[in-house]
Amino acid sequence: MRVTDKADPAARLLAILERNREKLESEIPADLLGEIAEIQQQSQFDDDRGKTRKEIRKLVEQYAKQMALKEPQSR
Amino acid sequence: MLLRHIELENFGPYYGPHELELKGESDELVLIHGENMAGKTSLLNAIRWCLYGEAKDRSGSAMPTVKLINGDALGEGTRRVSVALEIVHREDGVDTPVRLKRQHQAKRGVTDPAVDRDFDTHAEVESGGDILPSDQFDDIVNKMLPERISRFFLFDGELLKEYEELVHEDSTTHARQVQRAIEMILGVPAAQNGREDLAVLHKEASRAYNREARKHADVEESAKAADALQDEVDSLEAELETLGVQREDASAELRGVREDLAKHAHLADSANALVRAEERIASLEAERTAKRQERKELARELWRDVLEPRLHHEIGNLERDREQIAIAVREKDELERELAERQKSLSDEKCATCEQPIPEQLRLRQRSRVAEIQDRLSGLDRTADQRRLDQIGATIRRMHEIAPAGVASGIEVIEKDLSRIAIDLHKAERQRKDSEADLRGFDKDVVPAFEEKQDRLNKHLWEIESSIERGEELLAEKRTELRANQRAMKEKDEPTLRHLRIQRDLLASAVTVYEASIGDLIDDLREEVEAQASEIFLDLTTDKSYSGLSINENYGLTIVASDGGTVPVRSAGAEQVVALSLIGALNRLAARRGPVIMDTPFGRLDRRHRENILRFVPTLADQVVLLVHSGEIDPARDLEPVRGHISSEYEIHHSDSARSEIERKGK
Repeated sequence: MRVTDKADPAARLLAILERNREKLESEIPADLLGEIAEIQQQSQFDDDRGKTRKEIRKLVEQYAKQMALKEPQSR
Repeated sequence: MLLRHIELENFGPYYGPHELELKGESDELVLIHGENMAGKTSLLNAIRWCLYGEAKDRSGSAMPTVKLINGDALGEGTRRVSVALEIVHREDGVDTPVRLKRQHQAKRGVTDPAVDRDFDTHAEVESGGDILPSDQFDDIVNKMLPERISRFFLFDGELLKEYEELVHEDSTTHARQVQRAIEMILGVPAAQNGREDLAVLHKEASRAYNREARKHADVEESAKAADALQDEVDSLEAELETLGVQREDASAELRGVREDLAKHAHLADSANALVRAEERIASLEAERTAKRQERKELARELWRDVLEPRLHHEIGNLERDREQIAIAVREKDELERELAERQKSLSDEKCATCEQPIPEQLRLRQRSRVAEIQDRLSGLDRTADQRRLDQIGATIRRMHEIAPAGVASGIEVIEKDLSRIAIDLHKAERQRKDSEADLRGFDKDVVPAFEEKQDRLNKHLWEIESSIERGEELLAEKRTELRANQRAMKEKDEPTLRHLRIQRDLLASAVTVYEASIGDLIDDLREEVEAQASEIFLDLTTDKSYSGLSINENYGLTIVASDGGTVPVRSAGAEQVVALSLIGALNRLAARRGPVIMDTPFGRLDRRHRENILRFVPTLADQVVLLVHSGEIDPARDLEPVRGHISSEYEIHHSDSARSEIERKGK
């Protein structure tokens, strides 16, 4: 019935985040940023942030562990 | 979210059970007709109450439960009210049936409930056929249609006015609240909460890394220093957050004071206008009195204007007589002078001019002429009457005095002046009345107090700004120190610390990216709202000289004319069209989708705008419910263009003072 669904809010935010990630030459991988954005999108109206933070913490931990394995020894 | 079934019991004017069946599918337009006071707003309130546990009265205040219960039911001892909604919750293309029921019932033993604590509350929630614990009621509602954005889905004519306030650059506190709600429906919290959550997690990760690093001799000291620096950063951030809140509070207070001052400045203008109006009234009244006196005096002389034609005729006759007498008098004078000369010449027997003796023949002619003159003079004696001449002159002068021309025309001029004075006086009196109305309750003494408060708040804000500036500089220094410390530790960190460091740094990067993105997102959305609202507005407006809408910082929209200039003054109908364009744009861009339920949306619109908006309404959302009265929509005439979109129609009848019935119309 809608004439137009002009923009998907999640896609809009993700595009902006990705643009800034590149502009700032950020170290955060694009797929991790995308997953964080997806979690935030789902929980944006939740007052209790605990569950969301727990989810993101777990996600970043997994990424960090994988990256640590790939990082060359510094000493 | 789509509504499929609404069930009410003893809610407002609805005595006993009532229900409405909807399709609960996309492309649904439902019309609910009802006259004023029939119960349209109560129906909207019932839906709001079921979802959020709060119904609002006309002033926007929450209504106590006892006011929600139908009067007849309460009188009969049924101290219970309930609303149940059957909903289709659509997420990722999957439809889940949800049933919500809210019921308030007077506690056992309470026969005359008055306040909300006299009631037991029950909230039932089912999702996908499963009965869920009642404490999940709010979570389920929040997932479908959070209360904070419900104003864009469940609204009445009053909400349109709130949007109209947004257009003013000097935003009111209320307009700022609406602005925040708009950003919420557009999905800005996804970015704002993201930044907050990531910042918290980053701090946790920093602490976890430092805690672990202290166990390693190589980096123990650096870790302690990092912890100390992190403490300083945390403390500065907390301080800056407090200062930010103080700045917001002080700014809000300052805005309030400025609004009060602006209101009083307007009142000061009214006070000056009142003085000017009173002076003008006094001057006009004095002028009116003088003119009336002048008219009175002239009226006394008006009889002369009646005599004037007759006197004018008489004066004409007298002037003709005077002319004839004057001619005779002049002739007599000349003849008498000639007679005297000729008689002297005859008596002296010589010419009076040349002194020569007069011959006999000439003397004879002279004697003959003397006789002629004497004869003529005796004829003139009756006519050439100098006394009569003087008398006629005096009479003519008196007659002119009696009948000065133009008394009536003088009165006419005065009448015109008096009617001009009456109009001016009416205007001045209206000005006085308006100014007096503005000034009712106005206390002049509060202005200096507001000014003093404004000065104090400005100073306070300046101090806060300075503290924030100093705090931000110090925070930047400490963060730089902390980063240097972290880089140094990285050089020496142990394999066991590596994943903690990477975790911390990933979160730090994510915070930075989110921080940079919030402003971009808001700018992007504002542009998109402007574009969408303009498109809708051009579709709705009947004035083809407009080229679109332009948006301000508060999401207020101004009409742009085809020459690129803004249209500063607009009618109430145009305001409503602009507000509907904003709502349409927000619904197109919304982060959550829901049914749009509009109470009395066509109140201020003319027929052509109403037609345009009716054609537009079905595209506003997947499900649209319109609550309308006969004064705004004539079903036979207005609904024809959208007849094909209407899935169901209901009529609310007001049977008596406490009861309304909902009846389905047609199919």
